[in-house]
Amino acid sequence: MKASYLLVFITLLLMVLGFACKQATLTTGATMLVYEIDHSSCNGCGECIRVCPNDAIYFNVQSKAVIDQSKCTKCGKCVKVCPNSAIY
Amino acid sequence: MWEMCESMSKQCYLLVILLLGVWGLKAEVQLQSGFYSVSGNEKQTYLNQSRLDANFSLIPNLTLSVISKLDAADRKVQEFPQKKWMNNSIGLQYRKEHWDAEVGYRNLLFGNPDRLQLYPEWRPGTDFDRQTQHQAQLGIKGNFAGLSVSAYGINKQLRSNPVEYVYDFGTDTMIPTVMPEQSFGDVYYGVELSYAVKPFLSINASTDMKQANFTGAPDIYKLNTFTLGTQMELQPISSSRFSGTFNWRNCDGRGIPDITRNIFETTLRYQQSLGLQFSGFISLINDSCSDDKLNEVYLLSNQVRCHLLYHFEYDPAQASYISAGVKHSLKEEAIAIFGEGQWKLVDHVYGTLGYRRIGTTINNYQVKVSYNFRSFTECYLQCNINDSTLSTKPLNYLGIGTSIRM
Ligand code: SF4
Ligand code: SF4
Repeated sequence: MKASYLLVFITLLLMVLGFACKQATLTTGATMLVYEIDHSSCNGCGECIRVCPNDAIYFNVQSKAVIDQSKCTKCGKCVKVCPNSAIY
Repeated sequence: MWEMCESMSKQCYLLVILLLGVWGLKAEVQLQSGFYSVSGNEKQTYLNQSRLDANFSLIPNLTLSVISKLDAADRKVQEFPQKKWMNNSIGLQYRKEHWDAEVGYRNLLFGNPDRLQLYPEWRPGTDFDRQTQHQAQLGIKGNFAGLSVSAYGINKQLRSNPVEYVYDFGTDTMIPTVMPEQSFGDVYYGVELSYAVKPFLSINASTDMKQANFTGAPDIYKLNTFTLGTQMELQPISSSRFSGTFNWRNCDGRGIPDITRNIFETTLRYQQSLGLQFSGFISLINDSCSDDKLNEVYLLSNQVRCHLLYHFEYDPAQASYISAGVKHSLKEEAIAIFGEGQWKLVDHVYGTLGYRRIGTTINNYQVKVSYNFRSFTECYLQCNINDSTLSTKPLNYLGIGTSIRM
């Protein structure tokens, strides 16, 4: 069991390091846009679907909003109206 | 306009008939309605927001849920490209031992919609009046000794009127011509396998497919994704929970830029509660991407979110609380701060104060006074004011509303 905790700890540490490393790549100016929805913060209100000018958001079977990346033109309108700041 | 109203009232009748039909069953129904005066930017207008949430237990293990939401205003408010909007859904859920199945239908009605491009790559120069959207969905999940299998299918149909423009040499203007109604389909389906290697550690693999289902739909709207991931959840003591996920998603679609073919998503979340009074969480989300050759990894977004909630002991109804949160997004280079407090002023009367700061441009203040008849049943007076440096100001709301739990 101790070994399992160690494994989990190492994996989590790697994840945290991942944050730090990738942060460094940002400074090279290589940021670009892909909007995603944090499902733990989405309450399924649908405001993003209502505002999207490209019909690029739909509800999944759990009633959480999902962005259809093949249609999204990265206009950012959904980010502004989300009451839970769930779109990032 | 009249068609839309007619369509909306038909939906309301159907809901009432449905509610009467299931009357007498073990049910939980919540009805909310608010009427607001909206001001800012253009002329003042009125907005009605209504919502119905109902859950009925039909037979053991089978639940019917109904949600209906209506927003109707005299003019377009905020950035929403329509004056009226209705969102209805009905779903049947079956849960038994290892099985979980759901079948549902949802529709969206757009009243007085703006003309939008919707499918810019499909028919350049054509706009669309988005009328209604219908969605049928099916999901099933089985869980056997640590192995979980799930599958879903969604069929979405958007009905809209294409509008084509013809140049008129006489007047030197483009004349819009509304074409017959056209339906645009999107089909989404996928399967997921997940296996619990240890009670706290699981691995998962899934595939999701999307096809545009209308005549002449270009390949650009086709998308296949394959995801491999791992999830862990630890509960060192009963009052805390530590969870983390890592997913690698490979996207295959002509519309996806090469550099975002592979997405790496990492999430970490720590939750802590102290007795019944205090709870909070901190979460981190990191998204990075790379091309097909995985040459270099680029950062897409980093987001940190923290929430704290404290319930005051003096209120046995647990309705007096103070909560605060902060979200920092590297992509938006902005910090959002949220704070809300609700206090019992005298018996049955509660006061709420809220504050949100979004980036450096918007300060939002909320004040609400409510009279609670019993839990989840109240009438209230609410005011929502924005102070902003933006040229198009967010709108201010003042209104009354009721919420009833039956
Ligand atoms: S607006 Fe935000 S909370 Fe509402 S459905 Fe969209 S993502 Fe979810
Ligand atoms: S960024 Fe724009 S196009 Fe993309 S999902 Fe959000 S609102 Fe729709």
